[in-house]
Amino acid sequence: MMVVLNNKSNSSDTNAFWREGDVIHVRLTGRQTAHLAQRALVDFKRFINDVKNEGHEPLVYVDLTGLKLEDVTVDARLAMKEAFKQPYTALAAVGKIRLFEVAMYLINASGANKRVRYFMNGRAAVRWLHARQTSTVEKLAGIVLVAAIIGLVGLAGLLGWATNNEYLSRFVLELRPINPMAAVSLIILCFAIIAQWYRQRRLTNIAAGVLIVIGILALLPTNIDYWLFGQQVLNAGVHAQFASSAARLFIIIGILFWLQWSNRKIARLAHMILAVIVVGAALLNMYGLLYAQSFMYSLSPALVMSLPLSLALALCGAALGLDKARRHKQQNIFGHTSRLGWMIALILIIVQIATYSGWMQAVNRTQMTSSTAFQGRIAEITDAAQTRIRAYTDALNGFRGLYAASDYVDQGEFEAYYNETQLTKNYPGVLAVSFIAKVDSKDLPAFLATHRADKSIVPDGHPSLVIQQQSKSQTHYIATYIAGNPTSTSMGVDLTDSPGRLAAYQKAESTSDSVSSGTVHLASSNKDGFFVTIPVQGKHPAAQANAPVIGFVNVVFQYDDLFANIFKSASLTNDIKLSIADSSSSKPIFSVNHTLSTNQIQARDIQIPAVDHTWDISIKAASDFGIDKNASRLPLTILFAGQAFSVLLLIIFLVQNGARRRALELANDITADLQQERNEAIATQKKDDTIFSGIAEGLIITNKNGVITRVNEAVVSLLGFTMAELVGKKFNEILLAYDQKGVKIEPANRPITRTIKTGRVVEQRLRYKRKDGTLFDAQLTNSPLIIGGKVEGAIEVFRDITKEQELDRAKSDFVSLASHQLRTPLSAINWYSEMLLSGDMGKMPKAQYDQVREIFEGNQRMIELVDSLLNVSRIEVGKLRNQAQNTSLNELADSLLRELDGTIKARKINLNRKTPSDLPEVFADPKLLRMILQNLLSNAIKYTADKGTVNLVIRRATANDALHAKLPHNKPYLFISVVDTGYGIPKTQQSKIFGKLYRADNVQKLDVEGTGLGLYIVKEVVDMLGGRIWFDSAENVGSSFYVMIPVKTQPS
Amino acid sequence: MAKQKRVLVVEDERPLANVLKLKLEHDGIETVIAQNGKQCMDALASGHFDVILLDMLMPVMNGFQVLDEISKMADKPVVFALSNLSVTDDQSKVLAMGAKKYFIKSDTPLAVILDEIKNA
Repeated sequence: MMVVLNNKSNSSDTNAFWREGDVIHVRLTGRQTAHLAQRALVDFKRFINDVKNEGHEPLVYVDLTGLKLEDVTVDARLAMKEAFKQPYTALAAVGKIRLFEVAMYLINASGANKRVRYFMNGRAAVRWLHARQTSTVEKLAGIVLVAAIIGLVGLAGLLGWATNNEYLSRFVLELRPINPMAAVSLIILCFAIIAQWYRQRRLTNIAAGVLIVIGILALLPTNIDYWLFGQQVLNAGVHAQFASSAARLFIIIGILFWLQWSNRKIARLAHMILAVIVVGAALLNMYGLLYAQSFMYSLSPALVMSLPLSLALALCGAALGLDKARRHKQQNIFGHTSRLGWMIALILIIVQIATYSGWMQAVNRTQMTSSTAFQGRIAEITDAAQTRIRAYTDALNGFRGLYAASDYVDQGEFEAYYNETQLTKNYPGVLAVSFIAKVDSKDLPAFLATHRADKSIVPDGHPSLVIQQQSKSQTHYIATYIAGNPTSTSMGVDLTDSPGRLAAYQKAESTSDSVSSGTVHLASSNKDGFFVTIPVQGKHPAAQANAPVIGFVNVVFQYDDLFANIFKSASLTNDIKLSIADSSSSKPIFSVNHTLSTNQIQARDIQIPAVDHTWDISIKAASDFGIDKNASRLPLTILFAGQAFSVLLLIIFLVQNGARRRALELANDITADLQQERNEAIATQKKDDTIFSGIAEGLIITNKNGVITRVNEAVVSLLGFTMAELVGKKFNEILLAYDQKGVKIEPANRPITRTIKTGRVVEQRLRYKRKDGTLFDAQLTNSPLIIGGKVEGAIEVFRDITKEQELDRAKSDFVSLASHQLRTPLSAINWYSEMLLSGDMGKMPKAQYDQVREIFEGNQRMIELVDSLLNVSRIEVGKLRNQAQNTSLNELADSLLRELDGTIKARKINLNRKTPSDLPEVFADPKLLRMILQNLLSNAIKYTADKGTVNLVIRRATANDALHAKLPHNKPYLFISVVDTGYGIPKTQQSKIFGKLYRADNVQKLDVEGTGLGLYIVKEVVDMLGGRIWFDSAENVGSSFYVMIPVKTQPS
Repeated sequence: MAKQKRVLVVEDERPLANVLKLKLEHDGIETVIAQNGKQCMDALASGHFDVILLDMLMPVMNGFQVLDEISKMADKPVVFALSNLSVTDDQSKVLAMGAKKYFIKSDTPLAVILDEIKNA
C-alpha cells in the first residue's frame, strides 16, 4: 500500500521515497549530486521521525539497484553515512555486487553494522526486515506471557480461597492448595517482572524487597499465612501453610532482581546459580507432586509447595535467568534456536504431558485392578469364615436336636453322638464339649441318683458322684457329661459360682440362643480361646420353641486351631496382612503378619458375626495387590521412559542449539574476518588505485578476449581517449598500432594478442595512434594476467619513447662527432709522423728520428685511448652491437701479432702460440673478437718484463671447460688463454680488475702506460657475446686469462 | 710493369689530403685531390680513376651521396671509404653501398692504405 508518494513527479529528481506500513522505501537512482543527496537525507530523516512518532519501529528498505558506482559521489557517501546513523530499527540495502564494498564501508564507518544489512536480492531483504520486527514483538510477548501467567496463578489462588473453589487454589484436587500469602507474593512478583522489563529500577527493587520481607516473615514462627484467610487456612490443615521452601525461593528471587542490575562477573555468576536453584527446586517439587514420588520432595519437608506455586516459581526463575543472559550477551539466547530446535522443545513439552497422563492412566488402572483383586480376596476370606462358622453352628445345634428328641439323654447317648459327629476331629479348634445340666436345688438328689445309676458307659455307673463346689443358689449348673472323658473328675462340679458362667447360662436361656464367652485363657492348652454355651431344651415338639431349658452344651474353642481351619481353604497368601479381634476386646485374637511389598497399602475392615459376638477382621494388602510384577512396574516404567526420552530430547535440543550457536558464532567470526579483510582489501585497493593512477607509464589491462577492463590516467594523457571510451572496448578496435614503416599491425600480431595466446611476456616497440590521429613511438611490455594458472588477460605497460629516442640520437650523434673531431687531428699527426719515420721524405738524423718516433707512439696511445673511450661510451649507451659473421680467430691472431710484432721483438718477449689450423670459425663480430684478443695480448706483453714469456692458446673447449666456466654445456665453445710470466695482480685487487679505469697498484708504479679500460671492455664484450672470462694471477709469477666464446653468438 | 693507377683523394681536411697525396705520389701513384663530393663528381666526369679514397663527412656533398652516384656509373672505380666515424652502422652501410673497404683514418697506417691501393 503506497501511503506517501514523494518526489516522483519531479522529473529532475530521480530519488523516490514512500511508505508501506512501517517500511520506508527509498529508491536512489542516477548521479547523486550534492543537492540531491542532501535532499534525500532530509526526506529520510522526516520519514523516520514520522514512523517513530506513530509509535512504530521504522524499517527501511533502500533500493540501490538503479545506482552505478560512479553515481555514488562524495556527497552521496557523506549523506549515506549520516543516514545510516538515524534511529531506525533495521535497514536493508539492496543493490548490485559492485556497490557492496562502498556500502559495507559506509555501514561500518557509520557504526550501524548491527542494524544494517546489504542484500543482492530484494525478497531476502524484505524477509529480513520483517523478521527484525517480529523478533521484537516475540521478545515482548515472551515477557508479558511470563508475567501474566505468574500474576494469574496468584490471582487464581486468592480467588480460590475467597470462593472456596479448590480447582483454583489447588489445580489438581488431590494436591495441596496454594497459600494465600504466597498467592499475593506471586502478584507482587508479576509486578516486579513488568517493572524490570521497563527498566524501572526503583519499582523493581521495592517489589523485590517486599518479596524478601514476606519470605523472611514466612520463615519466622509468625502466622503470616493466616493474615488473609486465617480460619480457612487453619482448617485446611498443615498442607495449606506457607511452605518454607516457597519462602526461601521468594527470598532468592528478590535477590535475583537486585542482582539483575549488576554486570559484574561475580554478580552474573551468582545470578545464574540462584536462578538454577529456583528452577531446579520448583521443578523438583512439581514433579514430586505430580508423580506422587515422595522421595523427590521428601529430601526435605521444606521442599513441599503447592503445584501452582512451584509452576509459577519455575517459570519466574527461568525467565529471570534467561533475561539476564540475554541482556548480558546482548542477544536472545533462544535467538540461536532453529525451527528444528523449537520443534524439539515443543515435542519435549508434549512428551512431558503425555508421560504424566500415561503415568496417571497406568496408576489408575493398576489401582483399579489391585482393588478389584483385593475385594475378591476379602470376599473369599469372608465367605470361608462364614461358611465354617455356619458348619460349626450346625454341628453344635445337633446337640439341641439330640436333647429335643428324647426325654433323657444318658452318658452313652451323649458320648455316642459326640463320637458320631467326631467334633474335635472334623471341627478343628474344638477342644472340648461338655453338658451342663440345669438342676433346681430340690431336684439335686434325683439328679445324683439318676446319674450314679447311669451305666451306659461305665459298667458300674458312677456310685461316687457327688455335687462338688455346690452353690448356695436355688438353681445349679452342674457339669454332667465331659465328651471323650466319661470318668472325668470334673463330673458333678457345680459351675454356678464360676466367674462369668452364670451370666452366660442365663443369657443363653433367656435368648434361647448360643452365647460366646469372649476371649479366655485356656489353662489346658495355655492358649487363648473361648466358650460357646448352647442352651438345650428338653423333649418337645419342633413347633414348641419355648420349651424349658434343661441344660447347656458347652463347647471350648481354641482360636489358633479354629482360624487355621477356617482359613484353610481361603488363601492367606503372603501378600496380605490379617488380624482378627473379638468385638468384646481390641486385642487381636488371630493375626497373619506377612511383610508387604510396598509401604503403600490398601486396607479393609469387615465384621463377621461369631455366635453372639462379632469378629472384626482387618485385612491389609500392598497397593499393587494382585498385580503381577511387570504390570505393577508399568507406571514407573512409563514415568522413567518418558523422562528419559525428555532428557534425551533436552540433550538433543541443547546440543542442536549449541551446535547452531557455535555455527552462528563461527559464521559471525568469519563474517567479521571477511569484513575486516574486505576493509583491508578496500584500503589496499585504494592504495593500488593510487599507485595505478600514479604510474607515469600507460597501463592497460584486458581480459582474455582482449576487452579493456582497466586503464590508468597515464593512458588517458598518452592516447587522448577518456577512460569511458577505452574501458569495455576491444583493444584493437580503439587502439591502433603501426610499425616503424607506418604499416598497421594486425590484431593477431599485436603484443596483447600474443601475450594472451602464449602466456609469455612480449616486448615490442611500435607506434600508437592517438585519438587526434597523430602517431608516437611506444615501447610496450605485455605481461600475462595469470589467475589460477590460467591466462585471464594481459597487462600492457607502455611509454612514449619519442624523447628517449631523441636523447639517444643526440648522444650517439655526440659520440660520432666527438670521435670524428678528435680523430681528425690524430690522423694528421699519425700519418705525417709515419711519413717522416718511413723515410719517404728523406732520412733523418738518429736523434730526430727518435723524437719523431716518440711523437708517433704518443699519438698511437692517444688514438688507442680515444678508441677505448668510444667503446666504453658505446657499451654504456648500449650501442655496442654484435654484427656477427664467420670469423677466423687464426687470422685475427695473425693480424694482431703482426701489429704487436715490433713491440714483442723490442721487448724480447718469448711468445708461444698454439692455435691449431683446424679451429672452427666463430660466428661473431670480428671487431669485438679483436677487442678481446687485442686487449689480452697487449696487456700480457705490456705487463711482462723484458724477456718474459707470453703463451697464446686457442682451442675447442671441452665439456669440462664449460662446466668449469659454468656455461651451458650443450653449446660448442672456443677456449682462449693468454698466460704470461709478468708482474701479476695483487691478491687484494683481483676482484676489481674488471672495473672501469682500474689499474693495479703494482703496475701503476712501473712506467707502463695504460688506460684502465681494456679489461673492462673485454669483460663487457665477452659477456655480450655470451661467453665467460676468468683468470689466475700471482704477484711476480704471472697472470693467466681464460676466455670462453660460443662458436655461434647471437647477433644484435 | 703494371699500369700506373690514378687515385682520387676526396677529403675536405687539407692536411690529411696532402699527406695522402704526398705518400701516394712518393710511390709513383698519380693522385688528384677533391675537396668535397661535388669536386669528386666533377673529377670523375673529367677523367678515369682506378681508386677513390673517399672521406664520408664532407661539405656540399658527402661520401654517401658520392657512393650513391658512383653506384650508377658504368665504369666503377674501387672505393675505399676513409672516415673517423667508427659507428658500426655507417660502416655496414658504406660497404653495402659499394665501397670495397672502410678504414678509420686514425687507426690505419698510410702503409696499409698504400698496400690496399696497390692490390686493388
